[in-house]
Amino acid sequence: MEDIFISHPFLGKLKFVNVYIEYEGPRVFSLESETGSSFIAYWVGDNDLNENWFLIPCSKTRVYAFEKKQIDLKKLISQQEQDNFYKVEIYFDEDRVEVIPQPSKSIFDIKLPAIGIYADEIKVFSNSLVEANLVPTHEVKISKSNQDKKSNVLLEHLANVCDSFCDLAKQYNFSRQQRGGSIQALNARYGSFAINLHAKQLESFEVLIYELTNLMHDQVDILPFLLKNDIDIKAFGNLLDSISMTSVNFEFKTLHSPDEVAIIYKHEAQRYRKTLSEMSLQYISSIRVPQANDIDKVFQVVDLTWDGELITHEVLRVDKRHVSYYKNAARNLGLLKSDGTLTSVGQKIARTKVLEQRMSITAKAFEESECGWAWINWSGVDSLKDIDPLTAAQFLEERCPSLTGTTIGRRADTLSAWYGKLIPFYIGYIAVEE
Amino acid sequence: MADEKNKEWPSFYPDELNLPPEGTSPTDGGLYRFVERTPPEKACFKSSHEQSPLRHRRCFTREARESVYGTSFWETKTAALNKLNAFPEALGDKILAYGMLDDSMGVMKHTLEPEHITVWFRISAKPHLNFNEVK
Repeated sequence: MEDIFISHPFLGKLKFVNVYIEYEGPRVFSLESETGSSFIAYWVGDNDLNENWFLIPCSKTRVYAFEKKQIDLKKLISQQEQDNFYKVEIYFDEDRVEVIPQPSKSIFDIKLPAIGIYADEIKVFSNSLVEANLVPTHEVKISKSNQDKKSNVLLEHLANVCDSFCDLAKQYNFSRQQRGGSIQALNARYGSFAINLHAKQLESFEVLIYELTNLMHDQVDILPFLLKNDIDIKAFGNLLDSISMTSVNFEFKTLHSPDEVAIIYKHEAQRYRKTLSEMSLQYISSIRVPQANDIDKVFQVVDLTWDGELITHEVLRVDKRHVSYYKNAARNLGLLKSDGTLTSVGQKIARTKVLEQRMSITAKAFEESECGWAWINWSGVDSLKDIDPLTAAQFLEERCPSLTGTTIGRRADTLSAWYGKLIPFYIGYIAVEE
Repeated sequence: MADEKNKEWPSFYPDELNLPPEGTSPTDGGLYRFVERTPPEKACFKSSHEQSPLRHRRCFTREARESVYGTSFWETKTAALNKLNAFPEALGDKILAYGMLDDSMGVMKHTLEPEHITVWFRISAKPHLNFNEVK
């Protein structure tokens, strides 16, 4: 397939990248020059002798924003980033291409597309010339909360805040079953701790984080918002903790709308972290509620990790999507770390092959998990064994409001199944009478 | 046999493409098309090649080259209007028309994109008689 749209002395060879809208062939698409400059081609009609196009110089960030439906076609071509675009006439009868620079405002001389037109679909025409084609989509900026302080932000503080933020975003996507949501660090702006990121699945997350930080600026109770939108209280609390403990301010923005910035100031983090820490013992987000009924398969995940083997759906004998459920269950029980390695409790289970001991350790781990502890608090009892397992659904309904419909029943079944299996092996702390 | 085929289909079909292509079915049912005037005339149903005889030079795939010797239609009004909304400068003067095709007129096939149909008309076809402007 021919992938060169035009070849011209001052534009060079422009190759098709992605096709967005067709009409008897590609009519809106992205192009890339040999040096990596990107353009959007927009068809403005044919004459008897030639095709007419507008070629709009366009940053990759903006092309990406169009692909993600963050800006529509009208905005893409009318709100230009450079002072000029090109009118291109491609003649049918000879290899003649006329390129005529136009001032960007002259785009308004034509009938522009209607508002709300987006790519029909994204068809890859050819691989991008620029290796990996990773463009910055977001930026995280971490700065000293006290500008008079002489020392800079410490590296471990930077790492701590980034780690908490990444964990929050990942938990958010996981609870919505969003795949391919890795956040890649690309580069940093000179002279600051502003890190450019490339992330594909943060659209709904970024909308919520803007709303959430605005609520914090207004000093209102954010718990209802966190619960309604199933933002993990524990993970968000950890981000606030890291911001507060490391004395920094945290900013997050998407690069296609850089004026919209989500900021969490240190003093705000301090104000909210205590309340959230208390609330996280009572309320839980859906990601903290297990959805993996078979506790033996959780042990299998631990064993496979210990042996350095791959955890696959074939080995676990479950559907593909259930693999992540079992890994998450092991994480929620505190057996796996977020990086996939075993915790000390996980190692303890891996090293004992005696089933009774495994069950006993896991019963305690369940009691001390976010979900187990919230259930205990909600039940008004002191230990796991005092819980009424038949209350699982009611507990989830009241303390995990993001779960709805039949999901409540399914998750309640998991809790009851775990309870039934683990409680015979539960060993409580022995009270010593004085 | 070859002579019969030549009488049935337009003579401008290039030999190397063996048109109409494989996978077509007899024309049938109601379709939408952008036409130049109302009521539509036979010229409104010319193939893209007849409108611009060198357009095939700008076709980047075999399917596009095959389709350029046929006539474009849309299955739904929404699909047609979406194109009008996306390309008002290019299509602004066109009029949307709707009409029924029957199996005597030619053959048809889904091509290029969802809801897009290319029809290869027989020389004898008079589709314009069946089409009216869509208000």
